Amino acid sequence: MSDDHDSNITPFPTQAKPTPPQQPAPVFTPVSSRPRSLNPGTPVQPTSRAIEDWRSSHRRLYVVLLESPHASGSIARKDATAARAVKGIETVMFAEDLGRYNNTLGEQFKNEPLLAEDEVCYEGQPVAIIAGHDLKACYAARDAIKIDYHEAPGILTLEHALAMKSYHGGAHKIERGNAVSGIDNSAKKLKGSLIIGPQRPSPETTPRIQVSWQNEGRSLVVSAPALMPNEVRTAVARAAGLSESAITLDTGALAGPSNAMELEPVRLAALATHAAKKTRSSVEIILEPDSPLFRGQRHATRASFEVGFEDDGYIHAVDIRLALDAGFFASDSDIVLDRAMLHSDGAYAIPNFRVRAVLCKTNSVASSSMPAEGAAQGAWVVEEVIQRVADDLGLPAHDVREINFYDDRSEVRAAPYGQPVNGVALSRVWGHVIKRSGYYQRFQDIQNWNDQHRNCKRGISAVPLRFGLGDPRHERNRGMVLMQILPDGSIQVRPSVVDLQDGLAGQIKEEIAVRLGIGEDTVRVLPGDFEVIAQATPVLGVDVAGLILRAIDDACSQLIKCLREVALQLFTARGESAVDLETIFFSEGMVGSRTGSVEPLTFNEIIQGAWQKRVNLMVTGYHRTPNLWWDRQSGTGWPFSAYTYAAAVTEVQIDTFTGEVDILRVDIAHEGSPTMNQGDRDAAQLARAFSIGAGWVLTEAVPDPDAPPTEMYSADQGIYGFTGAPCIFESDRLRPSTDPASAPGDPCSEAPVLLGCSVRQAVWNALQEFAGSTHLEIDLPLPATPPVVIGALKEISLQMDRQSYEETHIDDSRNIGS
Amino acid sequence: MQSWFTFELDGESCRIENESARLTLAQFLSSLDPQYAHYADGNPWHGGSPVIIGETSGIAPRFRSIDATLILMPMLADAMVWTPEGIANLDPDHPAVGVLGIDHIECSNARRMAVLTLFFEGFYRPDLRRNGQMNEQLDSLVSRTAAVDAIRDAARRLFASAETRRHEASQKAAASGQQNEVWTGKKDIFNDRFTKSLFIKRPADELDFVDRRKRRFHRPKTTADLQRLQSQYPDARLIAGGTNLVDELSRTDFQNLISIEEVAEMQMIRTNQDFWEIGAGVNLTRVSEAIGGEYPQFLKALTRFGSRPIRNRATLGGYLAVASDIGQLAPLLIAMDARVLLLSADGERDAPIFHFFEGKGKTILREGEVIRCILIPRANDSALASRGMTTRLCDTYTVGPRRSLCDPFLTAAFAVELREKTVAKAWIAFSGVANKPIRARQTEASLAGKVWHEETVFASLNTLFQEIQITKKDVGYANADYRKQLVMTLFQKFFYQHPTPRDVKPIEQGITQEFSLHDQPFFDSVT
Repeated sequence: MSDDHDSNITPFPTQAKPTPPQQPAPVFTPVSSRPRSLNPGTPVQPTSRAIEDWRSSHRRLYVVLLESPHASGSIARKDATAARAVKGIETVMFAEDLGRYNNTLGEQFKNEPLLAEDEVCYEGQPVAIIAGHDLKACYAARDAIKIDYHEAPGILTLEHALAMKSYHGGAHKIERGNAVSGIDNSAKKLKGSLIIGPQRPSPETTPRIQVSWQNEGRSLVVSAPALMPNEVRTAVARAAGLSESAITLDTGALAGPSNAMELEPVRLAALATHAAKKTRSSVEIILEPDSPLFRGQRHATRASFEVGFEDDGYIHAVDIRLALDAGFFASDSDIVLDRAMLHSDGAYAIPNFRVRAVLCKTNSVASSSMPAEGAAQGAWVVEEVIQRVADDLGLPAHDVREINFYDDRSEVRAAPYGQPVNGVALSRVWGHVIKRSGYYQRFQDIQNWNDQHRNCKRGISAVPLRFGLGDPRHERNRGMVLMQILPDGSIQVRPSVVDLQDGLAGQIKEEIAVRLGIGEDTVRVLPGDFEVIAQATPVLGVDVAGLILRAIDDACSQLIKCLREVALQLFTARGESAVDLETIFFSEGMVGSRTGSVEPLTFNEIIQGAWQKRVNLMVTGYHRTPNLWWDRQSGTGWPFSAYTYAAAVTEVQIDTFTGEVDILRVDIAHEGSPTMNQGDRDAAQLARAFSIGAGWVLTEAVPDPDAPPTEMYSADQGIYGFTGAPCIFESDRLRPSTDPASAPGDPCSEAPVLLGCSVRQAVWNALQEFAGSTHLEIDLPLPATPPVVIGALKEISLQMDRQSYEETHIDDSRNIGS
Repeated sequence: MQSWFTFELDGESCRIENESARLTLAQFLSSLDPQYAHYADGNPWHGGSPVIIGETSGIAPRFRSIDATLILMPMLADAMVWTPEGIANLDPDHPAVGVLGIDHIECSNARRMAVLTLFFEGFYRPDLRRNGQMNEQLDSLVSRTAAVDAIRDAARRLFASAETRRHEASQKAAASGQQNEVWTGKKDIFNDRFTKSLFIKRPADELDFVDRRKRRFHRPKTTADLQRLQSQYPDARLIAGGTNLVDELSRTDFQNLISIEEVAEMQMIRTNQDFWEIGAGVNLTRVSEAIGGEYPQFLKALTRFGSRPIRNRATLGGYLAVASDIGQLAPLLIAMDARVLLLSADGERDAPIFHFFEGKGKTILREGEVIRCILIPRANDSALASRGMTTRLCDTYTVGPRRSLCDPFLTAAFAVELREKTVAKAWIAFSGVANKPIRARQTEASLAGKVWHEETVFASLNTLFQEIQITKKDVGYANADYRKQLVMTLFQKFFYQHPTPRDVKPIEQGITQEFSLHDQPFFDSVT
């Protein structure tokens, strides 16, 4: 009887029939517990099985995934008979078991299948879902699944993908002037390339992703540490066949953006939802500690460039080609590609400029985002161009940089896609950091120091930065808050953002306290409350703090408007009729007026009055960045709400015996947020973002997928932490000069990642110092790990030997000739 | 046999009964109270979840931070544990708790608590006096979200305030003509609720704990008891510190564990004119406090060993018994010419450290045998003179993916004993190149009798190149070529840092002086 049920809902029929429960069955008949949306029209029979179904929604099952061991191949046979027979297993699902049209992550993820159907596309791709009562049974069942693969070689690296022309879509282009003829007409030209390795987030534990039924099976609660809660909700709703309003999200508190994940929780939550739907149970997904499914990585990048320039370093034309590794499914990679192109002119006004970019398709998991994704890859290419030009001319790199800066006096005053660049702001941060770090003096001192030390070499660099705030997808640039004043005058604020614990809550508190003239301790900020505020503002790539703070501003203005009217009424009731509405102010817990000698009221009295008069003290604040547009086809637009400008001077020392690099001193001048008293938070955010960038260029090497397997080694052992941090770290936040109305945002949370490049350029300078006065070619792949630095030193030594050999050889031959 | 034990948690006595003998402190705490929930997520590779224990086995009682994710509950029987939450609740005005007010230093509450714990330990450390020691105290903070500069500032201010109090106490003691015991830590100058309870803490008792699944945990107090237990449970796993144990237990479940940490004989550090004798159960921090003055290179090696909470637990005996192929201390111990003293029912025997290792995880330890102590020859002038030597140059180098809390790629240690300018004997040892620490015997022999000079070193490089073969698999990006290169270059670095018999201290061409203000006392850094 029970097996006649709609197989969509009952647990997978297992060999051993479940024994009926020992306890007396509950009195109530759980017919209504069936989610109606799932099986409309199916008559529901109140059977003993239904009772178990009802009970099952209170069970918690474990879900493990069978992951593909191969990067590429086809699946010849799948057999889970033995696995399903394992005791304690509820279900084993293949792609076929998900139902028609259900095996997909959805349109915005390029229809990546949830489970591999007849081919596997990357190592770690989920092939089967196993749900069971205990973990050991799940693992036993996973081992019992028989899958025959026909392994194919697959494309593992970017180089391979380029050679095979394995792309996602076509090339995109941004162009100004004519780069080709510009290079041809230049006095000098050179070609080069740069490889930027990937970087991984460093989640400390495997993410806990749970899906539980609620409300008698009509709605779902999903807990997942997600940076993109909206996408998780969409994917879960799709998998469960419920409307998005039936999904409640709990992202929990995340420890900063660099440790959380963008795409990965979406995929995992969708998989878990399918298991929850099939078994009608609450499930928790358990992953292997090294699973690629939560180990997304940045987009590895390969750039090649051609540049035409003058003898003084002035660059006429640059032609850049970028290739970004998107993995097999390009989820969010389009926008990463855009960001790379939009930042690839850096801080330099190059009259003839062209950048062409493609997304490469490799047999690896879809690449994920970390802070400043894309922007860093793009900006570092042009810094490499500058460095190569400087090397070619034998000029210091800072001279070549300065001569090419965006400058308000030159003809080129806008980025190649049309958004204006503020040359004054750029030269301000540059001048500031050069002066504050004593750059020129230290440049000389280091040369003297290096002359006296042959086993350690120091290098110094100065690198500018122009970073676009906001997301080129204009629909993402919006923020919302729900703010309510309680009868005792305390305030609850719910911003539409996940809780990153990075100090944004403190900034919000401060803003509100200042606006309403009350103490910070009465303001409670509840970020990540997605039960109340359903939509979230993404935190990566978007100036989230700026949007939220402007939304707060909006909410505060609305509240002040209401409260002023209340105050006016209260003043009038007291007989003080000469008060002008606009002059009522809020300060230090009091509400007064600037006109006449009005005895002020306390803030709480006003709130009490408002409460009595039934004034609405719950408002939503909303802000969207106006006038954003970006046309990918023509490569034109105004994609960013603003640019932020910064510059860094970094000094390093390399140990020529081991190739280890010490960061001695970093000076940064950065446009900060114009809010008051946020210096500490800005400085901390700046240091964090810089350390992400510096780690990426220096130590955080991700194992090469093509290399033979090595011993267990996790890339996040390269995060340098407390002991490897710069010995001296000085940062100045300047008030943004760009635009007096610019958002009180948080420019320091992502932009400084780009300044990590200054570490690399300083290492480069140290290598030049090692080469001495001789004119040698330096090649320094990224990240510059100790073996890479040693390799570069070796190469330089070989070149030096060759040169001295040639010199003596030429001398010898002359002697012979004479 | 008993199925319970007690320990002190945040100032209150806590009885553990019917719990698994494999329960870690982190697991226990996370199930105890919602405020400890984050302990369940602690990852030792990311600094873990440090807590404070009170240590009484040294010359003076000390607070030590340890990683709660790496310690089993029975190891804490009779211990005194302070969690950062407990400290903050009990004494919100404690100087170290002030760090919680700086909420931008870290991005999560759990990590702010970790900072608090390390600050608390540092606050009470009488030997934490210079800026250069800050890294050593805080090196378990390895997250991307640490605002290092803000942490450094707060640490400097905190440690300076503690130093000020010690100075005042020291001056007071001098004025009153009392014996000055401030710098040894034997005198409680803080006299707060934490130190008060620390100074009256009794040493731990022996323990025979059994859980419901009949898994036993023994902690004898004498070597006789230890030997009796070993013969009773021949399959038992000995533990000394046990920082590796939780990892091992995830692969094999040992039915019986015997801790040697309370065996009095193995907790001793003794010395005579020829040797330092270091008990196998002494933690590395205590070892460094005892012999660091005589062997600065040992301090240097420890700065790269795990992190502060791990050094506070790990012991030399445990380290040697694990026989890691990438161990950071083994090459140095070989270069220091150390020996192990092994104890069994048949009596004692000793062996040079180099012969102690037989492979990865394999040693010469026989069944029923235990490391009693490690003997390190003295390196002071009189000891050298008695051996007929003028100078002993010794140094060690570790290269790894970062400076702390990582698996190193390669460690090298070198020592030469000079008679005037001539090399009498040399030690060259590496780990991370084969399945056990190895020695370059031929190169050592080729150096003997030669003058310690650049040419000698260069002439020996060829032998070294031939002799050392990289057989250990690549770890991360440190391929065999790179490690082979390091074998050659590190020996040259040793020479360049110690070119003459005078240069016992390494000539640092490094960052220490100008940039990190290594020797600047905390006392002066804050005005």
